[in-house]
Amino acid sequence: MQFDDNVAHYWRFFLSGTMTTLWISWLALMLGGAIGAIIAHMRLSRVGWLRAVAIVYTEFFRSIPPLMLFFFCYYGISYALGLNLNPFTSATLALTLTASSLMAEVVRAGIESVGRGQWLAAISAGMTPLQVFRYVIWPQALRVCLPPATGVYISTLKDSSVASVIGYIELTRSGLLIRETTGSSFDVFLIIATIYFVINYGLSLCGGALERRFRIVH
Amino acid sequence: MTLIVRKRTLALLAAGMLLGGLATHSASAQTAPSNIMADIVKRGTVRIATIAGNPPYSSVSPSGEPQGYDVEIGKLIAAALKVKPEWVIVDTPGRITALQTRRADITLANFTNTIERSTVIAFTRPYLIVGSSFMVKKDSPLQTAEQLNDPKYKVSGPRGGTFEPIAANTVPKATVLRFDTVQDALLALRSGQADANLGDSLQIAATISASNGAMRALPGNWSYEEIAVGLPAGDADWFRIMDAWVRQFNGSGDNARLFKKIFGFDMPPLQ
Amino acid sequence: MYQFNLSATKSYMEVLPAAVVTTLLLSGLAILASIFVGIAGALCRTSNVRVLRFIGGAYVELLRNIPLLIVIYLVYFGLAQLGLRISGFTSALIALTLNAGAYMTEMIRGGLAAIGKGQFEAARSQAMTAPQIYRYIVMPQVFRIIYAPFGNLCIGIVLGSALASIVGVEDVTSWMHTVGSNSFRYLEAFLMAGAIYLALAQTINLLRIGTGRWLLSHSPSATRQ
Repeated sequence: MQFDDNVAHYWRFFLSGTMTTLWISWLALMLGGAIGAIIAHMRLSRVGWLRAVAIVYTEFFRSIPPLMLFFFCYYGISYALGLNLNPFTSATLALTLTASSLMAEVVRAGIESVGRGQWLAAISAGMTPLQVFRYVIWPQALRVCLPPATGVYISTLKDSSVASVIGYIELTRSGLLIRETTGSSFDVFLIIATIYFVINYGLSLCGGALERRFRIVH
Repeated sequence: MTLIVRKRTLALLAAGMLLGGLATHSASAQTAPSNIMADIVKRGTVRIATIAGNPPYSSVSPSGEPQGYDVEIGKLIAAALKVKPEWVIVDTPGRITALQTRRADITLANFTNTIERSTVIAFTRPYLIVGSSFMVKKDSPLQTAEQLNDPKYKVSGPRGGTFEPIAANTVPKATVLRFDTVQDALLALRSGQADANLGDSLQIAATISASNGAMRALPGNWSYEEIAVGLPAGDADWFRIMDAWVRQFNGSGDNARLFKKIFGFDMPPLQ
Repeated sequence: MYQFNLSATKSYMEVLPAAVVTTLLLSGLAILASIFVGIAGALCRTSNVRVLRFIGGAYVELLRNIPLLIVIYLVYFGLAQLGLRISGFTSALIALTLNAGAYMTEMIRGGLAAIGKGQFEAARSQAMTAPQIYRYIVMPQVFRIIYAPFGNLCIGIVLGSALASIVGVEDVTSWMHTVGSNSFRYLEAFLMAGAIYLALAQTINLLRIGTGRWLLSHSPSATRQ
């Protein structure tokens, strides 16, 4: 056989898989954060149907297994709409949908953490609603949101492992392909488990540090 | 609180409607007729679906590039068309969906032409004829496939391949374990989760020769399978081009030489 | 090109109930088992014994930071390579339980932490025994704090059970793959399976909301909401 069966020789492939995982999860977190922020504002709106849409959205995307979402974004959209998204776009879309439903709750909690009194005070000081958000609510809410947002990043990173099912070559898929080529299963799984652990544990330490720091400020 | 419950019910209803809406929409969805060859020339690449985790047919090199028998064939096809190969990595059932959804122009992935599959996609003439055999560990008590036909034995194979009907015909009483990939099924045997693995006879021969005597095959061949290039259905020109390529690839002896180089033994005759 | 045809999945319908039962059984057992793991984990993490605290902490951090998919693979294939052969269903159950148990641990620990030390002292001064304190003081309060995150966790377990199909468990996801790959009607199979998971998740959600309402109507006036 002409194939290389030494797992260590595949370090570059592990590395590129790791970078891909970090990048796609980061992208999904950012996009999901933006959509989640919109959904959170809809959820807090006084308009009934906006609230209803926001609830349907968050409930829907947290009731579907990530595995199904990936399939749906890859094959489903293409069957139903004839739209051919590549694995990267499909995986980003699926991760973004899940992340946005989580981020919606994070942002909502952040906004609600700012006392109602501040809103009333700012309005009575002659600020427009947009100004109140821009200068009073958002800066404070952002601090409250950051620590749980690292939690969402960790969860997105872990969900991204499922993107391997649609052929997107991130860390898990790299590992699976190396395993399938070299046949050494246990080593490969230990390596990927270690990489995920190091990244996620590091992130959760950062999240904890952020939380402590902002608690002192409060 | 009642209000919230109603909202949740509403959420459920609306979600159902969203699914339903997509469903009805799809009935009217049409994929525009396309000339695949023209698209390939315009794109400058031929998109080839392969598994990449199925050695020696396809696997990955340490730098992450696809390699193997099917991959070499793909490179030759791209060269013949004067374009670059673009790899679409799929799993076993994804070989069909990639063509159905036009994500790939061809599938090269140890892909058997079955009548059932031919109803939804097209195949060229075969470039390889394989069978199916059972592989067991060297020290297994099993000597024949008949002995395997017992619920206490577990047979592993990949989901969505030709494995399921063959297992149902040859060892209907055995416990069947389905996996997402050929390699998971193989690993189930290696790790002891399964007592036997049912698979492609050539792949099993290659695995046994690489195992240094740790594995052996049970006597008997349980299928006749034509391995061919899969194509999207409905493009006669594209079929004509690819079928001619396969005819010449077989006739020139290039195929037999490539096979020997990768598998390490002579290619079985194409009849 | 694609013609939607739900009746194409009809011939696979007779095996669907068994697949749903497998999903329910796997998730149900994982929920039950992870409650016990969570209680044990929380007791470890709040223990006075340093080693126990370390073990509890290491368990939680490890399992919360490694994707479930990898844990399932490790339990099924990895342990088998070491000579321990566990069936696909049991492997998935163990992996799900280990994963959910870590979250359960943190949840229960959070619930216990919310109960002030003063309450224990007050209860002890009333000559209550430890089981009595847990039964009448601790449990009712902890339950009030954790029922909502518990519901979310249960949804997470049901959705996580979808990964069991990779080790050959014949659950709803496996049914979806089988229908898709045998009948080539992938979209129909997706929609059916998606609707089933959605229904399961929302049933848990409704139960959670119902519990909230029940607690509200049975709350002693002094308890915070």
